[in-house]
Amino acid sequence: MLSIPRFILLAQAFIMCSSVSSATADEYVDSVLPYVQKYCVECHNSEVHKGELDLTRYAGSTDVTASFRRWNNIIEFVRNGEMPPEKAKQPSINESNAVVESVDRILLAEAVKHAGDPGIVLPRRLSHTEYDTAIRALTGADIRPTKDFPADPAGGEGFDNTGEALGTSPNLVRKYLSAAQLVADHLVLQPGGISFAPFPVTSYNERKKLTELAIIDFYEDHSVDIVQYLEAAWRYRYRQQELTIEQWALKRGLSGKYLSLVWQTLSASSSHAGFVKELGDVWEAVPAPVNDMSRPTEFRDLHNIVAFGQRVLCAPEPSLIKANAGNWPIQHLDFRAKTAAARDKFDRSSLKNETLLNVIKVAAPGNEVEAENLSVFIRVDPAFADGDNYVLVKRPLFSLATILPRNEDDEKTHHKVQSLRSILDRSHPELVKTLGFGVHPAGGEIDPESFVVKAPTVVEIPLTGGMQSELSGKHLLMPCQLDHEHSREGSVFVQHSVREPGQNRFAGNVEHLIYGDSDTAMSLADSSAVFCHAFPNRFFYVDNVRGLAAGFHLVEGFFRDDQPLTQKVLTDSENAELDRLWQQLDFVTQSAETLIRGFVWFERSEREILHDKRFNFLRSEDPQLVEEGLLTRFEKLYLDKMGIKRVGDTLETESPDQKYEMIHGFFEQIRDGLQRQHDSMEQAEERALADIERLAGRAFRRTLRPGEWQSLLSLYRKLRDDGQTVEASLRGVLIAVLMSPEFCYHRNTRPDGNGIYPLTDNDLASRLSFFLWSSVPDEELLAAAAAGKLRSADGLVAQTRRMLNDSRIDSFAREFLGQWLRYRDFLAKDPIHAAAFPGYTNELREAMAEEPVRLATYLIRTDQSVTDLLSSDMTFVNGALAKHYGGTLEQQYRMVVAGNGDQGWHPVTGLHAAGRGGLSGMAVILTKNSAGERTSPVKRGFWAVHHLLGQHFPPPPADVPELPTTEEGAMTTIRELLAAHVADAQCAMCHLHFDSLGLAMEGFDPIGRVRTADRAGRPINNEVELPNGKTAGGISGLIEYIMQHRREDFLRTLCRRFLGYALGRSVNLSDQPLLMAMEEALQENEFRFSVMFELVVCSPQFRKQRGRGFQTTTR
Amino acid sequence: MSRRVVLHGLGASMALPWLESARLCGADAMKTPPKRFAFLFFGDGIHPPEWWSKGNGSSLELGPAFASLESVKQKVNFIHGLRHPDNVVGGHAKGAAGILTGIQPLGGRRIQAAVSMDQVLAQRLGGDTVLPSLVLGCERPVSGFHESSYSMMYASHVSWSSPVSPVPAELYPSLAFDSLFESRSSRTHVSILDYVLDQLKDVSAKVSHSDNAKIEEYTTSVREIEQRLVKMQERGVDEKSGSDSRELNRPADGLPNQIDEHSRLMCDIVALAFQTDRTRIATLLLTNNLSGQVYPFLGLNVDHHNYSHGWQNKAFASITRFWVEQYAYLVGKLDSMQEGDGTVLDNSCIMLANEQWTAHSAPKIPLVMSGSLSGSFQTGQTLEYESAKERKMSSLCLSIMDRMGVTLPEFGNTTDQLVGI
Repeated sequence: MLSIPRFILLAQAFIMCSSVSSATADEYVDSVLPYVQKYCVECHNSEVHKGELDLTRYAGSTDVTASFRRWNNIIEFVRNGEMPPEKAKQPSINESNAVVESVDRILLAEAVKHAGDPGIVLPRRLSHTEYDTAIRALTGADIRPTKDFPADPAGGEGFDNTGEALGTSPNLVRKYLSAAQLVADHLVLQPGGISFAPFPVTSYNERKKLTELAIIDFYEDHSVDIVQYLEAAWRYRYRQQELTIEQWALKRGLSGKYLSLVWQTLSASSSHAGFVKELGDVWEAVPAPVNDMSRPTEFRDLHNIVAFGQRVLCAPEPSLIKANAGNWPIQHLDFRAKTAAARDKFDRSSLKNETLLNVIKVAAPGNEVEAENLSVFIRVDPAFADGDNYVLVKRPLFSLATILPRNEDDEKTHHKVQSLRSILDRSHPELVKTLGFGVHPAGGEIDPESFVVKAPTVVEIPLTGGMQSELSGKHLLMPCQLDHEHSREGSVFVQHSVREPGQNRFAGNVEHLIYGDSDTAMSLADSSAVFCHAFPNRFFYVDNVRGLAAGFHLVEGFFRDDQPLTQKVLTDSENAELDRLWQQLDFVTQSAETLIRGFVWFERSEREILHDKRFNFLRSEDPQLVEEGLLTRFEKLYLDKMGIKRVGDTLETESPDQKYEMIHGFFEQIRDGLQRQHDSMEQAEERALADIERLAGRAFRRTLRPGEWQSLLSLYRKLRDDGQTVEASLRGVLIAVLMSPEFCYHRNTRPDGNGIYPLTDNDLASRLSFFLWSSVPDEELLAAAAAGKLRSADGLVAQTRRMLNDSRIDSFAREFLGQWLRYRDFLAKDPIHAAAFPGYTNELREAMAEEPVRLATYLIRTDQSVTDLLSSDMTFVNGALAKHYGGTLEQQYRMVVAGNGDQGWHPVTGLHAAGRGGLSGMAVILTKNSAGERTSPVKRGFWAVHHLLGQHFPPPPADVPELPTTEEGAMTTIRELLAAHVADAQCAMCHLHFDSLGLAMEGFDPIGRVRTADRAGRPINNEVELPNGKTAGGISGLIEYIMQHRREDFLRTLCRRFLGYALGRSVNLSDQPLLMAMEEALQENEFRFSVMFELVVCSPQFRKQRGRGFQTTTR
Repeated sequence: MSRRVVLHGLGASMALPWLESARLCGADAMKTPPKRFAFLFFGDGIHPPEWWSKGNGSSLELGPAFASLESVKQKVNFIHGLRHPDNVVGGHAKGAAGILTGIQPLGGRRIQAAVSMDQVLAQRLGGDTVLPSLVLGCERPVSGFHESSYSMMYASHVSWSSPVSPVPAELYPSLAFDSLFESRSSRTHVSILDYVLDQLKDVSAKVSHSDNAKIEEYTTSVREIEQRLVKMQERGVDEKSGSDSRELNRPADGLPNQIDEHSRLMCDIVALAFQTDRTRIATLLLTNNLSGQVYPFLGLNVDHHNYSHGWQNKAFASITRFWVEQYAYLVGKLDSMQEGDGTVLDNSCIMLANEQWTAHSAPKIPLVMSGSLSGSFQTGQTLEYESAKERKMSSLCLSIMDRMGVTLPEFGNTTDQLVGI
């Protein structure tokens, strides 16, 4: 385990001993200047300044230290022997070495003198990324309000988090204002305070969508699949462990409450009568399970009989949406209430004694459902009554319609009816006799086109081929009725089927016929009630089209129909949650007000009830309509209009009846709703203000100062006084918070003095959080700051480790690596001509941009080596990227997905075998450094050498020749064209440093796919001679080269960029000791990411600041 | 009180016409008057026997429905026979949402229409005025479902700022009036920016000299935006020259009890908004589809929608005439407002349309259009499209937007502008 203090000591020790060998009066004048004048100024003076370098500007050591970056580069050229160039006058090796050492010494001396100086960190606004991330942290909604802002400029070490770079202009402030407004538009006032919707909520539609969907989602999450409960009960019966039924349910993810009910009902079923007895028999017959997966056929019988009971015993569900114009809303609400209350009730009056069987639709001739020898069957079985069970089949017929004709016109013209008897008379006269058309088996005549059957029986009616063309397209309709005269106490099951007689008594098309007022029905009542109580016809109702709408024509209103769910399934806390969601819907959509306004309009325009001069005063828009006075006036007139006699001028009636109760109940319901709205509003306002206060604290990254909340509150009052609603005023306050410099600016609280001072706890927390998460601190970090825990290195490291292991560290991965390695703007500035690459989709591009973030996030969270960025054998891919990479990577990905079904991102290994590895083999890097329709070995190589390894080059001259824009259009390979270019010595000077690295990547096409030939079909050669003279092939050779010969370059570059990003400023000479300590610490600690993070956050640069009076000249 | 708290007294408002306003804010670049577009909508069809016109120019003859337009008819085009997208016909449920979007809205619980033409214009052109657009209504929106399972949102909103968001219409004349001068959102923003400036004052006092440069940069920017907002609001109120009669009293709070008064006030506000260049885009929903408006002042006690089913009858004829009269009132008012060499009407396009032809059938759109948009359209014509091959309403939208400087490759169900206009 890494010990931070040791590193700080180490760094300090380094500083101490370096100080000993401090420089003389002016080493530059004594030791460097003569060399410069002799060998360099001929080309690098104010006139010529080759490579944009004018060495006559430097007169002494302070000039050198002031331009330390430049000088670092200059001596690098001298050290490598590249300068002075071959054709110029040559110094001796010793002369050059001495100069290099002198410059090193000058720089180091200066560095050590001010080591740890926090430097100048200007106040700055949040970068766009920080703004978006902070908004996400504050609201929980991914709004990205800066999505369309112009890109932030970069400064310092190439990052957009520096004060120098991030300026403000009126236009930007205007954008900020719109951005804040957009965020505020997501704010929704709810009874429990404020919340943020995933979309702007500016119209009624969005209010409804937000709250209605929440309820529907809840219902879906808590829906009851009866089969699962039946199975759980069955397995419980044969359990091996001693568990309670609730524990059993918990194990299976089911409701304990409901499983208990099912279990008790089934367990006791055989002791009941009637249908429940049948259920019990089936239940008893299900054998013990043989394994955890399979279910015996007897189990299916159990499910069938339950489903059958739900269908025939529970109150039948009528259509709940009444879309006709005349439907009276008040009565409709009453009807819905009755339906909702009856879902788990047995009602004898809803039992049926007749049914219409739609047996078959006759197919056209030649159709594969050939009617040749096809028979249909009617099976009639006794159900719950012994004795004579006769069923009258009342004039069966063939018809184009699926309903019976209402009149002769229907019969002849529209339905083109032919009676079954008229057909059978011709085709099967013997059957007419067998079926007994026209005669009752118990004696007596009946209608000649009808017949009567006695249960049990199976009737077969053959449909021979000859009839097909005549009957084609017609339905065979058989109206069946339990014989009123002979079987008043009967009870039968009727089932129809095609080809063979029906087998299952409780199949989906079996109907039960019984007279509801018979003694037989009476005897079924108790047990049926038990059944319905356990197995309601539905647990809740959500209409497919209208969702939770009450379901009357045109008027908006919501209806809650979920009693079985709330009573039988949900726990108390689940019920509380559901109640809360409904309360939220009522509140956010102002449902009572919406309903009464819609009602006024409807009663006038759709039902004409208000077509009466007395109602002319009433407008549905009138704000007074929701006040008691007008509402009561309306109710009185409405009662009068409906013919209800009132007592004097009161709302009471002389003779209360159902109609009065319904109407008055409706108005009372409106009054209750309005009152609740009013009460909720008061509570909501109070809670919302507390929420906003908390949010402001988080936005400001500290507890609010005395008076600060007061001034926000007075803004709130001002907006309220101005006539704004509570919600609009809250939105206003939120905008103020987001526009406040305390939110949108980074600014440290500075002491007055002229020295170096620690950052305040809050400022340090904020700095840490924006560094690691690009966002405001979370509650835990703020609490640690408040408790003073960040003042110790241990406390700081503890928070840092926690934050490094948090998923939000992906912001660091995205921002730091993306900006350092120049691919963060890939999606916005993609160099590829997409049209030339079929399959180069947005989905793929997004995956490409995401890949390095995934890998780096993983490496950081698991504290791997930073060199894995260079050489990792594993990466992360999603479906699009896996397909893009192909080969074993794709196979691996597919196997993972096949295994766990998750189509998202998964790690895969074997990059090396696939010729890739680390960042340089990633599609995004290869693609970002391509050019339109061809690869660009120059860009790719320059990327590796300059960005990754930190080597500097003078800018190219203005007159470099252009390479062809496509590989197809080139005379030869890009490689050969480049070789020609590099034949020019002046070009070669730079190109030989990077071309070879880029050419090693030629095995990948412009969008990063493996290739063996270029787009013109010429074979690819990725064998190269590297800058150190060795040969290498492909990206693996490149990686090996960097790991073996350039690792220090990589580490130096990484550390420096990293520090620049962490501090939000350019790296100074005074940071040099820290950088060296970082490199050293990495070497000693297996290059772990945490080493860099911990060393930097514990450094004085990070934890301290200059005082307000700090003078650079006095340091 | 501060310079921003103005305008609440009766008759206190003095709106400067466009030209003076332009001068006031130093917008010399604005040499030509701006172009405006207003859309007035009424629902449930018209009384066809009286809805006709014949001929052009001096031989232009009008049916009784257009009697109120007689005096300005040379500035009007009577456009017959345009169509909605093929399937936005019949029924009442979706025509309002279809008429300025040129699309078929989605049925069921999920609301999906499209950005309407007025909002396209507002989004492109609205930044130059106090209000990007003015969206007014004389009837409350309805949000239930129609029997066809289309949301009634579609029947009560013509303006859509996004496919899922109808623009809430202002019903109150007084608030609509206020919004012209201090739009509520800009007033809120000024209050907010005042708060921010106060905060910045505190911050400035605490930071070092070098830090303050950065803070000052923000302060300056915020102050500039705040002043821009204030200036926009102040336009038109700080001069009480009163030399001409462009005064309009602020309408009383609350809602007028009768629709004639209500709609007339809304027309006044649209006229005032155009005259003073507070906005260049307005929609006014006179009735919903399936309207419950009542017309006791016409001697009628039943509601609009019921009468529409008897579209052949006198009652509905008088309702149709009534709405054309309201339109004619606005057109006449704009034509009385001098602007440059012409009138405000000459620089506008004022459209009146209905989504049905008769109550449940929409083979064609009843539509009239006044003003030449600064000479972009010839006027005083009867334009017959009934037998034309291409006769989409969306094409007309595309043409108007084009003449207003917003040229789109496609809109609604078309990619082509209307031929012959």
